[in-house]
Amino acid sequence: MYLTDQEKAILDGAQGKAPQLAMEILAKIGEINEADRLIPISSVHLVLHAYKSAFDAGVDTAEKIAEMGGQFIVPTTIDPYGMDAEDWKGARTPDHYAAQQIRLENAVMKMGVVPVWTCTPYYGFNLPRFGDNVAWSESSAVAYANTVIGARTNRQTAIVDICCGILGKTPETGLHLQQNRYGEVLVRLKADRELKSWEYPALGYLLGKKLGSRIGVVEGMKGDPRHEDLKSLCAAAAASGSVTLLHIVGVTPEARNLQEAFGGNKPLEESEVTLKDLQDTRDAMCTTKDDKVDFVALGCPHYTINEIKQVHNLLKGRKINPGTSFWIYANSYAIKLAEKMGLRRDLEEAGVVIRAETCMIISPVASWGFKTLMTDSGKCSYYGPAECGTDIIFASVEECVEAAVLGRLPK
Amino acid sequence: MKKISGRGLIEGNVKAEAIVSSQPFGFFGGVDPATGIVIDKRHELYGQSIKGKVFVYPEGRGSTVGAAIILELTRTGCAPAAIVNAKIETITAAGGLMAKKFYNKDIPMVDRLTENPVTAIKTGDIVGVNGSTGEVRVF
Repeated sequence: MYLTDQEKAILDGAQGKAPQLAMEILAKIGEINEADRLIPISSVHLVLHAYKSAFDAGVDTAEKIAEMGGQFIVPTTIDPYGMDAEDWKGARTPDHYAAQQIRLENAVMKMGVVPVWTCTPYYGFNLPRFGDNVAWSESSAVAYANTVIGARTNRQTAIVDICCGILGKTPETGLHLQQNRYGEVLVRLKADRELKSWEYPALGYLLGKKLGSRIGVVEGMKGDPRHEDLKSLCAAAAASGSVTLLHIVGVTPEARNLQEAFGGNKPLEESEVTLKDLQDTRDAMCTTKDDKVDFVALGCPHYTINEIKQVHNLLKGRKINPGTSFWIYANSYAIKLAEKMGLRRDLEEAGVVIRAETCMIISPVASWGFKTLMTDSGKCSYYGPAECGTDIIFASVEECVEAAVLGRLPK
Repeated sequence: MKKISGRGLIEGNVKAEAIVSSQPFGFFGGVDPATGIVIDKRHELYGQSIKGKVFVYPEGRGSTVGAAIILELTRTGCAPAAIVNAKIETITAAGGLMAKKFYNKDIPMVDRLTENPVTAIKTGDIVGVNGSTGEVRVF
């Protein structure tokens, strides 16, 4: 890989230890991916964010890089906090866990992170423009940035992302290059109507399984999906597969038509998805036939203010069943708005718990002993069994709310 | 002994027993870093250990925090001895690179073999992996 004189000087230590280490790592990553050079990026989004996924090695490494003088030179945001940021004691976070989370927080804060603690940085804090090169790690946000915004990022990974923030650069490979952004697989959606909200994450989950890391082009989507529908679709696809970019014809910016999505190339493979396939996918995402629900968890990716308001509307003043915990995960921005709008007060009076700036997957919930987690999230359905130790019921938000009121699935 | 050539990605030279899967693998939610045992119930290797083995699978998938899990597996001594992929993902390669930089541990990694590694290597085979030359030897 070509390095400029300035980059070579950094590699020789001219700017200190942390930039030198960052350059060594990016040069090697660039070489593995056969990059010609490094390119400037306008932002970074980090995934070394929670003790639950960083572990002791991640905490130690973040501290080492901070002690070496690592400083972010481009806006650098970060994934959710590893425990309820407002009330980690009330969320039964073990003391050792909390202490390690605070060490990790201190290390990234020392390097100058913007502490958004969210998996949806694109809703307000870190919004790239069409065509911008960025270096993001959170898999759902990577899929959203490439698919919905038309910004350009590969799936960066823990610590490599820190290196990108320190240098403000990333290797020019993969989706940073136009020729690598065209569709490879054509998926014809056979639906005679607009998808329902739960069908978007189910479609994402199915696409992840079908596509792996290939770029899919979805033709036949009716109507005008909400931002939130695309958020849940991208998150599920990035969890069940390694989807980084989807083209949805007529919906996403690099797919105004089929020709544009494929860049004139022929599809390597074609397949169909029917509404029945989405129902079958939904059935396969559920790991239990039991109808008792002791935990409803929404907000993976983080719930927006629109989604919080929708839950408020669906509850219609009813109370959550005493045998069911109903938690909504959201970032500080949505929570602040929910407070201003009076939604938080009403929801809490109904028995809903707002968990701040964290989520069910990357905070410890094992001590609650939940048996069955019900969610409207395809991503949470994927990671829930391993990371929460529960069975999963995947359903629409409407069904989640009804189940939380009844304490079991509606008949 | 059979020799297969590939692309050396992360340096190191090891010889160990192979564990082979035809399914893509993600480290977060895939393996318990305290033991090296596969915890993803949907994966065909569920319940088996990758600790100290030459781990052979087609490609990475899932969460981008994977490099941190490989780093923790290194810290706990439960990392695979080597990784052989058909096509490596940056997340996996970064884990190997960090293991060397921060814990001075070699986890050689090789991809783009002249044969499909998932069929050329069987679970239980003794396999040598040279991450510098890219050569894989099946004994």
